[in-house]
Amino acid sequence: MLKKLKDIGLDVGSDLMYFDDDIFYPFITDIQNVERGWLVRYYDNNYFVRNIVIKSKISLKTTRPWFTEKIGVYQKLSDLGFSEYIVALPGPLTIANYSIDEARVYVSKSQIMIDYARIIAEIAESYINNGIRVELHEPELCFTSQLTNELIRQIYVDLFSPLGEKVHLVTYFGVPNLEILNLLPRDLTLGIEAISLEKSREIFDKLKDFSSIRLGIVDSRNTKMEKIDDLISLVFKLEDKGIHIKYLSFNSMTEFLPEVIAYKKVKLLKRVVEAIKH
Amino acid sequence: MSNEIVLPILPTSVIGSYPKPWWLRKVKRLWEMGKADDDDLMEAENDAVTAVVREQELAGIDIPSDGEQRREEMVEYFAERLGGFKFYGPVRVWGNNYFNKPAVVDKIVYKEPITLSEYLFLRKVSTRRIVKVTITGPYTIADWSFNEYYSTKEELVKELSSIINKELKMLADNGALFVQIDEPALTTHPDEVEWALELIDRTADNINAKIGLHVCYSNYRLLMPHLDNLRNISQLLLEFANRRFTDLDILKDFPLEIGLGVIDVHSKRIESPEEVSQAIKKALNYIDADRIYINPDCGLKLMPREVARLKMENMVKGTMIVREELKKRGREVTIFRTRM
Repeated sequence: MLKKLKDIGLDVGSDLMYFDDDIFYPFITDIQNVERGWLVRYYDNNYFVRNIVIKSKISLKTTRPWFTEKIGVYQKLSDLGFSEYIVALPGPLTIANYSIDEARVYVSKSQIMIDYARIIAEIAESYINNGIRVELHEPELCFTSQLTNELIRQIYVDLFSPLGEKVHLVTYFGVPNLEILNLLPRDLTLGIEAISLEKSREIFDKLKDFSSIRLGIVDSRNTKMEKIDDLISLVFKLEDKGIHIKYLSFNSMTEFLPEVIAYKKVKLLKRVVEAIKH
Repeated sequence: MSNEIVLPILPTSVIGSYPKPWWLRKVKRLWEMGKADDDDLMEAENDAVTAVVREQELAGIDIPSDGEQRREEMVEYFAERLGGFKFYGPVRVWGNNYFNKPAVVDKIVYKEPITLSEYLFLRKVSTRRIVKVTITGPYTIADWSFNEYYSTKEELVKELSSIINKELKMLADNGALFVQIDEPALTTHPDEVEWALELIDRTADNINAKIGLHVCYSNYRLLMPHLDNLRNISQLLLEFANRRFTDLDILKDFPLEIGLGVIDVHSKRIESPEEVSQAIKKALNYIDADRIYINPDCGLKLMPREVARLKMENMVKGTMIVREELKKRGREVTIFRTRM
């Protein structure tokens, strides 16, 4: 499949999470003191993940078996010759939201988020050092209303901002509210879905401040094909508003689509890029 | 003389699906390859229904289903038999489990009865007074389909609701006493729950049968404010074992019967009768025994058949422990109600 995607002209390659059950597993096998829990719905989808049961204070395993295995996979993928490679990791807010502190070792959810953030940032840095960009799946940013300036600072400014644009902070299933967008560091690549953006035009101004935007213009939750002209005009409109669109992508995970439609939509995405370049 | 149907207190049932015998899967594969004909497949399906109904009855289940032996997937089965759907291919649901998610590409049309022949065969092979027929509800069919045709999801659910109402009428007119509408998607979008419940309830308008509503793996609290408005649904069947019996407090002042999920259908560990009895007793802290039915969390189809059988046996044994205790208080039976 990756070969087919390369042939279409896709620029960024990944392992397509083929060996993953979901965004949390087997990622959590690199974390000390957690277990797989029970099945729960992943936001508002007919798609389920197993939550994570925290047994004691969490930390990164020194052996990092899953990271080691993934690096091996990406080394093999490097032969395909994509311009960039990217790996999916859970965002600290999202994974904390799907974690159960069964042993009650944490005084607050924020502390769980910070501990996860430390672990994820360390793994992210290791990937980046191996030439692989990182996309943090952070839909929780679109739903939470309890983020403080201090928490954003501790998680995103202190831990991820130093990694820069190579970290794609990917939001989906909605758009973060204005206060949260205000707090997020501008030097990460912000992934944001265009469908929701259309409904919240006041956000346009905030997005101008980000140095790199990854715009999710193709809907990965409906088989209905977008019209290419609509997509092109949307991209031009946002660029005219001063938004620095560096990547065009799906608005969320492609596993919500049948493969045949996902493939058609990748081709559509490429046609949009070609049309814009001309 | 009363026409009331009497059941043992805490009647036991299944949610619907049950593991398929290996030989049915084999015949199905041969049929798909064109190496078995329709009659061969039907014979195998009939034999499988007979076997799994017998298995449920031997385990002591009071209200068996046909184990959905003729179905592959709960939305796909109905979408394949209605006009207006198209299939592009499978999508992931969890782990490495996929389903063939349909797309609505045209106006949905009711072509012919879908579950009637299933019910009639089940009625013929079961020795129990009451059997259960399961139907995927309009909201879940809509939510688990891609919508390329209807301008809103509500419009799509309305269309499906009126179509399923015809199916329910057909079943009730032919003697079905208990139909369970499966709506696992119901609480997925909190802002849609109110109108979705109203339309699901309308699906059962003018149906002379007991109507249950099955919901699982989600936030049940979203349903609570709306349950008093239900006119046709008398039982809500919910998964509790998977969530380790948290949330049982929602059963306080519960206006319906509860189908209490006491068996985890995603774990091969076989619950002991004592665990089951303890779970039931926990529920009894909130709701009277007269309003409790006992069932697994959800369909058992993903379990190995032997595990499913042992789980059902222990579910019944655990129920019997509580029944014995209730018997000492003079409570042995419950009335089968079609309305609350």
